Amino acid sequence: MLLNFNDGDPFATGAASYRYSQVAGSGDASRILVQIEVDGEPFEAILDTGGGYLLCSPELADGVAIDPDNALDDLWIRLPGFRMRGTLHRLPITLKSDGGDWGEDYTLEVTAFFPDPNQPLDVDSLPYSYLGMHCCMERFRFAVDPCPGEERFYFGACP
Amino acid sequence: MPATLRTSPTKCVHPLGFRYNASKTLDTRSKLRYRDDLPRYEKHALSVSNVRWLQAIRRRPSDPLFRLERAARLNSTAFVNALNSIHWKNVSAADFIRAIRMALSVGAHVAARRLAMEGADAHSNNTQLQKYARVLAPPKPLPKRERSNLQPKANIEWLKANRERYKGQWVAIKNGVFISSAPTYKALVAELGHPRDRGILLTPIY
Repeated sequence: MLLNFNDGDPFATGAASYRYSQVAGSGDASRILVQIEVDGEPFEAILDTGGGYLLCSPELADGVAIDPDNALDDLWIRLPGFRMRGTLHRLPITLKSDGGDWGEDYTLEVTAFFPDPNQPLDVDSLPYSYLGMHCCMERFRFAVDPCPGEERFYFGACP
Repeated sequence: MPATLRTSPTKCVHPLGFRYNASKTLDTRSKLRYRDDLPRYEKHALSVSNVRWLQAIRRRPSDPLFRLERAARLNSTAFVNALNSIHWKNVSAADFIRAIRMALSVGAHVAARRLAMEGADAHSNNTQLQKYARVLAPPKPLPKRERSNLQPKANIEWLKANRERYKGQWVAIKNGVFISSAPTYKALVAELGHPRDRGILLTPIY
């Protein structure tokens, strides 16, 4: 069941199950892993409300064609925890819903950061992409139901 | 010798040298009754320091981003403070771009966006600045698309059920159906060929 405001207006227009799991470098803390679709391909991404942009794993960056007219290349960027060289690019992503009663998908254009593969960066040190707040999640509503067995990520467009 | 200098352990702790700058707020200066109570070389050093200070002002670069560049070496807070002290009305497009790149490199992402927007407004003919404004703009919802055949829920259920079995491996699954596994991403890709355009999820399990 989707979330609504008291007056019946929808808060969320879609909801999806997510994985709550440990990831490389997180110690014994778990992270929320949601599934997104980029160019029709599924990827897992960590929900990171303290970060910025869609920080792409080398795996995601592997097949995405970068249009030079919409890319800022050879940039140094400081994000919490590290400084990296790479390219900023606009990218459409789709948040997948579970379908049926769980509403519909939501597609939006976000700013994605593609780390330069020529810098010392091991693929296994960045196995997931990160959905950051700035330039990515800042313009849609979201909520998380963390109850074990019922884990669900709700999302909906801002008016 | 004046009384105040007798009480201090040394006349001057610094040896006189080219890089010696006398402190202008020297504690002992306020205690001295006469200007001539200062040691001879301390007076000389004070005058040298004044000359250097004047020279520094004369030689200060006319570059409007001079202070911004210095602040960028410190931290994002200093950078944003320096940013707010600059009048951006007459700044060139190239300087806007330099400032945006600096902001990104210090982690001042909101400031970078603001600069990109202001720069694009001020230089509406500059294609580079328009591109910066477009890329750093807030996310934008896109029209609804036809729902694809991907079933994320099935993938997640499989991952939850098989976590222990494939721990430490990279796995390839499609709509909840296991395809393959390998110890590394590269090995898995080598085994599958290029997995794109097939709706296959490649993910590590910890």
